[in-house]
Amino acid sequence: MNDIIQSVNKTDDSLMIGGVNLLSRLLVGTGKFSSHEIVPRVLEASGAQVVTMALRRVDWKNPQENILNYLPQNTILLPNTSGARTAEEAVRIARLAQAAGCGNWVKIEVVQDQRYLLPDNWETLRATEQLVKEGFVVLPYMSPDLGAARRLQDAGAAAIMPLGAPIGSNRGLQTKELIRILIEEISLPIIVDAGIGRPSEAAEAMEMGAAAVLVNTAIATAGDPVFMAQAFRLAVAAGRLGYLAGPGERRVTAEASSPLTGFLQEG
Amino acid sequence: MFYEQITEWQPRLPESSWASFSRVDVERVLARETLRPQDLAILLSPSAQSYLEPMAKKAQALTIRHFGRTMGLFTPLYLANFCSNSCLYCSFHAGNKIVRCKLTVDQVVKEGEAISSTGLQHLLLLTGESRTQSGPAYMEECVQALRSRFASLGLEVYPLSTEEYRRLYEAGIDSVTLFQETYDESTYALVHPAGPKRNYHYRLEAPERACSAGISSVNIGALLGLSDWRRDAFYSALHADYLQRSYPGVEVSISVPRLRPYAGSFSSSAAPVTDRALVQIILAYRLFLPRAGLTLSTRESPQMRENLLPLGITRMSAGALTSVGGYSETDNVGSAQFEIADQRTVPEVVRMIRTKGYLPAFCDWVNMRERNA
Amino acid sequence: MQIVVNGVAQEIIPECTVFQLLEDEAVTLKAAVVELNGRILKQEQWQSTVIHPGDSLEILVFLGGG
Repeated sequence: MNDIIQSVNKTDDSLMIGGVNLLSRLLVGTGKFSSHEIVPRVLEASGAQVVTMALRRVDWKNPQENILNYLPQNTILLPNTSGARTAEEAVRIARLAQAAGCGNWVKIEVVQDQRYLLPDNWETLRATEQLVKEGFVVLPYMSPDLGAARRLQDAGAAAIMPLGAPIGSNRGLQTKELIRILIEEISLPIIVDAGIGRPSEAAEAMEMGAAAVLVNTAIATAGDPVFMAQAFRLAVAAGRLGYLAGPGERRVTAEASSPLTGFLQEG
Repeated sequence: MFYEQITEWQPRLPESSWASFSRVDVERVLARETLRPQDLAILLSPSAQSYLEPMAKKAQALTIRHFGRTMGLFTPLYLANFCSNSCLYCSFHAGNKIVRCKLTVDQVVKEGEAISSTGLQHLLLLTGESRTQSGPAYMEECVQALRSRFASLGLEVYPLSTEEYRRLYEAGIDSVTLFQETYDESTYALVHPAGPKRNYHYRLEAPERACSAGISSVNIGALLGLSDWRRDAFYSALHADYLQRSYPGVEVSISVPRLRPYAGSFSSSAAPVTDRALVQIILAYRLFLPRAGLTLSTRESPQMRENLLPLGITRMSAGALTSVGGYSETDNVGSAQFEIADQRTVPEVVRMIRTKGYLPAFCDWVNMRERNA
Repeated sequence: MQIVVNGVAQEIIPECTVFQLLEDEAVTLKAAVVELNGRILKQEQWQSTVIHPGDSLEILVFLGGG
């Protein structure tokens, strides 16, 4: 099994983000796990190189151990700015994460809507502009809107992360058509983030041409997160292979009658 | 710049590649939703000739979905035919003894009145290439004189600088038509032996200059038949695609002028563009560019225009004259650029369009910028 | 003296340094982030920075997140 996965994660199909050649196109989030202890095994099973985490105030009453202690040595840290409601708050969180020695990657997540947790594209754009100026590798999480994606691209984002469905909904690619348009029109890597509930949905995103996917809830809340992480690893690899192989064996054959072009036969 | 795409594709599309595309390749392409450049090449290949009917069905459905059953109407007005180029295929060639003239602003207004009385609201202004006789300042004067009478004004003249496009945009031009004639550099050099038009790159980059100057609609294309039509059609469509991606706010259209007889003969060494080939080109354009406009001029016969209409065309000229002046009663009439094959009047063309089940659109877009009363 | 830590008013001993405060509260020092009055304090500065009355501190750590 590992041989198959190894052969798929070839260096010539690596994903370049922020100057790093990623071999794995599965990014994993560390939220919602029953405990931090399971995280190392999950990450290993997933093969993920990029992992997200959140910055939170220390809770004196229930001090939790720092998640960073549970991540493999060479993991690329992608702190998110969850909790931020404005661009200013997102920028502040990014600077804090960097000061904590997290590296300079940041996932911008600015949410003003507490019901669906949908990202605010406008604040996200402002945060992106500022953080790109400060030298961050910025991966904005956004609602799939082509105009917003173009502006984020122009602002210098390293990738675009459109949501597949609202966070935690596990409803798959509800925004499929809009994501397809982004993949078609935007030259940055498109990383589908949020809403992917099943390995087949991750495969679907990859078959469409997404550069990568970010999965959190589906793995963390699975019956067996380690198994699920492995399933996602295989699904992302399969979807990517399918995309590279070139789909569309469907064919349209020639026809007998020619009402529209019959005039060419005459003379 | 677009030229980078031409140099990228040239080695990938040698002469031999056209024959290498099979019928199965064509069938696969027809099953796709979004076509890539390689698919476009397959649709322009000899193998696709057996698939014109399914291509036509798909092209017709796509056009109706994106444009409705409408047909935009426009007509050209030649302001002047002085020209310092020597294009082998054109009657305005500097060496040709034709009647050269240039309309005065008053005459332009008279022509405009005659044209707008037919109901046409989209006017395309043309001149030969002469900065002394028909420079940007003259064009601006004409535009300002016609502004109030037409919903929108287009310009089809020689390549201008970004600043000149911007000034004409301010004056009231909202669309620019410019044909590269041929994307093949050696043929281009051959057919443009003298004059400013010899500059291939300046012409190639002109649509981009127009877009960056604020022009909201550009119309491009090759003069089919000057050079290998498959190659010219391929690069024309690629050019349109490039402009759509680089300037998402600009409406991009493509035209399909075929080489026509004119005063003083020129015969191209390239294969002639048969009716079959023209249909194939139009269908390939539509399938590769679902949202680009497709313009048909009066170079084609009435019968041909009627047959081509449902295959993806979105705009056609009506009641056109390619002489300088002639719409109104005037003494000052200069020689025509090419023969008009479809000489029907505007009402006749309108009737034809309706018979085919399409709505003739006299006014599709109104340029609101500072219109005088 | 009275200060604010993570939005909550707190009493701490006078002349307390940031380092001492973190030690007292048994926070794993490795990757905590400290903001004093809106300014990020680098780890090197914790031992030398004295807290004053009315100061506002944010002490943050990384937790699991998507």
